[in-house]
Amino acid sequence: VTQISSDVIRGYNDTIILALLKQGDSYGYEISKRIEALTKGDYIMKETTLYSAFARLQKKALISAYHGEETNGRKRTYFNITPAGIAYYEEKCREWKLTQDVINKFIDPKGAADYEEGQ
Amino acid sequence: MEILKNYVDAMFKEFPNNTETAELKTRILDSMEAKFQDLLEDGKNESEALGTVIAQFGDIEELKEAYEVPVEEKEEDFEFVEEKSERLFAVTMPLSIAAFLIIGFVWGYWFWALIPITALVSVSLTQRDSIFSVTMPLAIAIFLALGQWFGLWHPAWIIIPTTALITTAISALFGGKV
Repeated sequence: VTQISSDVIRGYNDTIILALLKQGDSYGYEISKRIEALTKGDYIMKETTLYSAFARLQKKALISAYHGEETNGRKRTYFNITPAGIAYYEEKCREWKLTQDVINKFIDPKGAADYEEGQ
Repeated sequence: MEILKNYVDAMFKEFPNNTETAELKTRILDSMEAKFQDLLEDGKNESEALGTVIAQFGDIEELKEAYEVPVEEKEEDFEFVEEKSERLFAVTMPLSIAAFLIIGFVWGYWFWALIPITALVSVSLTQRDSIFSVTMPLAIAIFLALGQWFGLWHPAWIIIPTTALITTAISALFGGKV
């Protein structure tokens, strides 16, 4: 079974999280569940990956944290995307499209044709 | 879920003991417990669910980097020497005391210097890469020679503690490992 290599996806974990937060505030486990559901289990973000991404994004002020309502008697930390976060996300989307076009040139003949048309 | 809590505690043992760490641990444990419950609801048994949750924890080094946890200096060499000398002492010291008692009761000669000599020999044996490994065997050889050939067991034994002290002083002065 082919699996996503963590080396390849590393640069885009932040983008994935920002994409979900763009749809609304959320907390750790909910984000992780949505990633798994959207990718039909092809990508499961590890706990340490998720929480180190939150720390990094918060440090760069791309997201902010607040204590949300209590669920099962527990306070949850919710995250909210900041305007800088949205700008960063959009920049990463452009970067990914370019990356994808370039890599496809070497992988998928049809992708290569699209790339040449676009030039 | 006690197992998950213990697992998280063990993973975070190198993190500073502050509110930031406590909060992060709470969040992660919360995630893991929720995932565990969901897996049980999906019909997994407890050990399967536990295995999945722990497998999906990831690599703690990633979090250490993100939280800038200082990398601990490993003092393996030191611990190794410590451990080695402890084991050696556990063997040599009781032997030395037994020998001291036997010599005392059988020959009526209370060779009390035997015990500190054994301790020093044991120390020098575990300090192979230091100046001790040169000076101590030399001192012991001189002591044995003076005792055996000239009958000067006393006061020749003084050379052993004296050499130990001088070696320690020299090592300290030149910043060497004692």
